[in-house]
Amino acid sequence: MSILTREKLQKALDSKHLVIDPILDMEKQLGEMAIDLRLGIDFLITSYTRNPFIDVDYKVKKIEGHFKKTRRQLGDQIILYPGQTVLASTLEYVKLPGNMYCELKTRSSYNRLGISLSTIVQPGYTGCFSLELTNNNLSAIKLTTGARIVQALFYSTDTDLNYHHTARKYLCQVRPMVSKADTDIELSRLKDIRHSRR
Amino acid sequence: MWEYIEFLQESIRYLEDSTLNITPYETIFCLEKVLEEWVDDLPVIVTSMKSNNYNFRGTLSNLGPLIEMIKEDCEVTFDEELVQIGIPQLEVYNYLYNIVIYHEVGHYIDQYYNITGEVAAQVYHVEEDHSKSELKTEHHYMEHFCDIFAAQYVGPLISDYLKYKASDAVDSDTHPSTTSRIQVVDDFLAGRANEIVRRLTEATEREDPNLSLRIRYKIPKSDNFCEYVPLEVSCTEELHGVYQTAWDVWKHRNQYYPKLADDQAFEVVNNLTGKSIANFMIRQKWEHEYTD
Repeated sequence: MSILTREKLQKALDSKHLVIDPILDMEKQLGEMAIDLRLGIDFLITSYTRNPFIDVDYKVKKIEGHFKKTRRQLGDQIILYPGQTVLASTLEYVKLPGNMYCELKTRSSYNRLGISLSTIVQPGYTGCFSLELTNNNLSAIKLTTGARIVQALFYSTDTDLNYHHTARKYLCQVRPMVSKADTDIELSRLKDIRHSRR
Repeated sequence: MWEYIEFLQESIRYLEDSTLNITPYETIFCLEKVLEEWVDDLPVIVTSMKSNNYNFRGTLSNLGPLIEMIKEDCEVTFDEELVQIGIPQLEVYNYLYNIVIYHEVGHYIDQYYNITGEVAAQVYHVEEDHSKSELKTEHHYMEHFCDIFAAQYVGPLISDYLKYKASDAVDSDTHPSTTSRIQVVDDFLAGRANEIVRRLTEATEREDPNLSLRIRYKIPKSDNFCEYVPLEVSCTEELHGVYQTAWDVWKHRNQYYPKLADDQAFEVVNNLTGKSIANFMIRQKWEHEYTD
């Protein structure tokens, strides 16, 4: 597996082997070994609810109750409070080829503010990348939608993988979606094990 | 008095909903592009998602004499028109269904120029065609105008919607039969001779020679949706044309997405539709709405 540098990234974009749309400023976004991506306009914000905790049990379906949808227009701002997790997505829609894997990291300038993120995206993925932003700073941080907030590093893989070969939880998503951890099938088996002990 | 209270309640509801930050900006953007072609000064647009039906109305111009009372009582002046767009909450991000609003915008434009009022007066009073009452004549022309207005932007989709919503509706005091409405739309799109289309087209051009009822969409040339990628929209005509591509893919989903269940296929098509519009909107804002 090797990282793709500027020339190869440019070639992949030109041939539409790799699709990223829209790229508003190629000169600013395409770096030597990464492509900067922008903060999208849709958010799911965590908030306090009557439920004291998020229960990640099989199909309890209460996870989304802990998040509130909100949208902004390009250039509008959103505040991340200390300790708060906000689900966002990239402004760009991305289609990775079957032989390209991606790692997403916050840009250094945003790391220095106390926002961190580390996500991997599988070959063949299609959609806006999900950004799980948490403010680790003591101060609230106001972010601007459309700002270059993350950098995507692309790696070529040895084999071509078919992303659509199996059922996908997140397909062509264009706005953040609440975790579907509660649909992980092993939770059902673990629940049965737990209950059989009673 | 009831109308006065209703105006205040409606205004509060629309103001609250417009600040909820869940507005379907993509749909509103398409409608703004329509308004730019038809009115000189863009109105202030507010939206509500608590509506049972789709609607689009010029609020202040609808108030009639009540507006003077409101100005006096509330000590306010209105420098701009206010448009209220209502979208049922369940359909807020269902872009495929939002084509209906193009018909509703037609009512606003009709009211703005009084196009069908003039056609009905001509038919009823000048030509003395009393086969229908004057009000029924006006209502029928109104609906035909809005169907044609929508067809300019979304083509035959408006007929599909009529078939879905009211396939066997017969002629009533407020609406022509669905069969007649579809015939008018089909003739307009095919450029076939049709008396209703001719009357409405001429009346529109009489209001302003720069206005005309004509096809205002282009279908984007792309097979991106089958690659799970949004369309590359290059102009406003293609923006409106996105809906036809989307519906075509949805109708043929078994060919495009043979492995997906219907609900997944709908989500994919709908998401790609919204993102195709959003990407065009974002590019326009990026390129034009800034100062050096």
